[in-house]
Amino acid sequence: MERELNDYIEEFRRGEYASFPLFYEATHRKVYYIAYGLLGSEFDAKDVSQDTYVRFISSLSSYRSGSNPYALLATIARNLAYDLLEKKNRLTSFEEEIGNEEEISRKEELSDSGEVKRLLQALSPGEREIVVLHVLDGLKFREIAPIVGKKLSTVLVTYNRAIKKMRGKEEGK
Amino acid sequence: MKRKDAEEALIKAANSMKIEDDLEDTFRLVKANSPLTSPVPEPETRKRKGRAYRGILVFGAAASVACVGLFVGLSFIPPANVPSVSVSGSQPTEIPATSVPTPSTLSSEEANAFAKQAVSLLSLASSFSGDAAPISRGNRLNARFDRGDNADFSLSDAQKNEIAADIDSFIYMVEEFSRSDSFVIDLVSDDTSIRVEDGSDVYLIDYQETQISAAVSLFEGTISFDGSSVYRFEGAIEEKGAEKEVEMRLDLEGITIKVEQEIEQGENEYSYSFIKDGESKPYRSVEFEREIAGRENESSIEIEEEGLKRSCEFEHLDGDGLGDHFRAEYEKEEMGGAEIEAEVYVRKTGEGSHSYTFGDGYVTNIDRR
Repeated sequence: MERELNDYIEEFRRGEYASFPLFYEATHRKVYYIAYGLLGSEFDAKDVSQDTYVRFISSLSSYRSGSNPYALLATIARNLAYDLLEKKNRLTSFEEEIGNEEEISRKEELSDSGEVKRLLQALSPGEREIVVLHVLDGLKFREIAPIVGKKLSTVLVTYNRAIKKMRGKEEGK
Repeated sequence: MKRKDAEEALIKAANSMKIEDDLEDTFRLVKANSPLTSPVPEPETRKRKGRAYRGILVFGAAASVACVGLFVGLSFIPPANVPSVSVSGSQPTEIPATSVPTPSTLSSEEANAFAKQAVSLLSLASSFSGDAAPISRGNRLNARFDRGDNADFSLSDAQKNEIAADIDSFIYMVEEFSRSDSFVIDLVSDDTSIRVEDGSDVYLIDYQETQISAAVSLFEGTISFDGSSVYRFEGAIEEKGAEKEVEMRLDLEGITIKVEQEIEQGENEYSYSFIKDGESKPYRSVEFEREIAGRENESSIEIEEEGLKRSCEFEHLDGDGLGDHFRAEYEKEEMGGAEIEAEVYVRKTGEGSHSYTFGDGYVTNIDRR
């Protein structure tokens, strides 16, 4: 898959975008997960996802051939999400977006994202992004470390802590 | 609930999310802002589209086919108290409940190398992991693992605890890792070095630990074989009240070994995995859980490989340390599956000494001096 994605990227670099829909299909859920994991808002996550691709295409000159394109997409999505959070001065937005359990149930009737919110609710923003990047985006811990600007060991410890919290939440359900 | 369950729950939830396909707008923006087709980015265009998007509430769009590579695997869990016990005794040629065949993907040489490394790593993990693995800094461990008839084993004072609870660990340990007839681990943690003799082979482990906070330590080091090949490893230990987590990674040529260990009051979880050729697919996954409450001791080991799944559960039936009786149930799912049940009798043979007799004749002696 990564090789295919890198083929697309070579085309993009030449200004050929005919295969962009295929690239988008293969990646957009993962990009969305990152944005959503940090923002907790579907609308904002869509915005950030959209901007991520625009920024991604603009950044291709610095993309190293053969790299994992998800890592670059993830980095851009994460930075944009944090920019948005900062702009809105709402670093606790995820908790606010989530609301309480009752509210989640109500929202689940409208959206299919309620369960994801519920699982991520117990995590801090730093834990959420590592869990999303690893579990949902399939990035390796050593790929996640430079994205989040932390040491590998810190990422591992954070991930363990996060998973334990999630387990505790599931068991206490 | 296990780690993998938590990950799978999140993946399942994420997969069921309906995410609106925003391709059309995104594609238009990408082309409009392309450095080649539009050297000067048009932020206004982008913003306008973004804002227009915000007002739309659509959850019914079909899910895309993207969600590939939701790779979670790599959860595994091995015994941590491994080096805290030493095993000796006679062994029948076939012990179905614990014999682990060499993975078909590895040669016997590779498997032996793995065995050594895994033992080393587990030793190291235990040396750092504190109470549940009773090897602590400043203690010296001479552990002799021998498949011969007259092997013995000794532990320091600090290591004389909960041997009975380690039954699962050492069975697993011996069968899984000790592919050689005999090997000796000499750990002098004050000198931050471990020397392992395995027949004519000698390998050395040097490590350093850095305390980065009251609760978190990092460690790193090297393992060298016969003074030539040198491999690096690194890891972290985090203490959280009564809980402790140890993570470590060893990178070999094309193979990564990860060891994870969680220790809680009354419960131990270990995991390890081997990743070959940089592929995320674990070639083996092991889960190991133990719950100890008073004299109750229930443990389970699950090993999964391609096309093969084994699980083993231990239960402490009766006894107070003098003639304890365990039951081990072993299940092997391979080509239709098979079940094996074995009973284990533990007899206290002297101060600090135990003899373990398994239903199939396997005898293990443990001497805790």
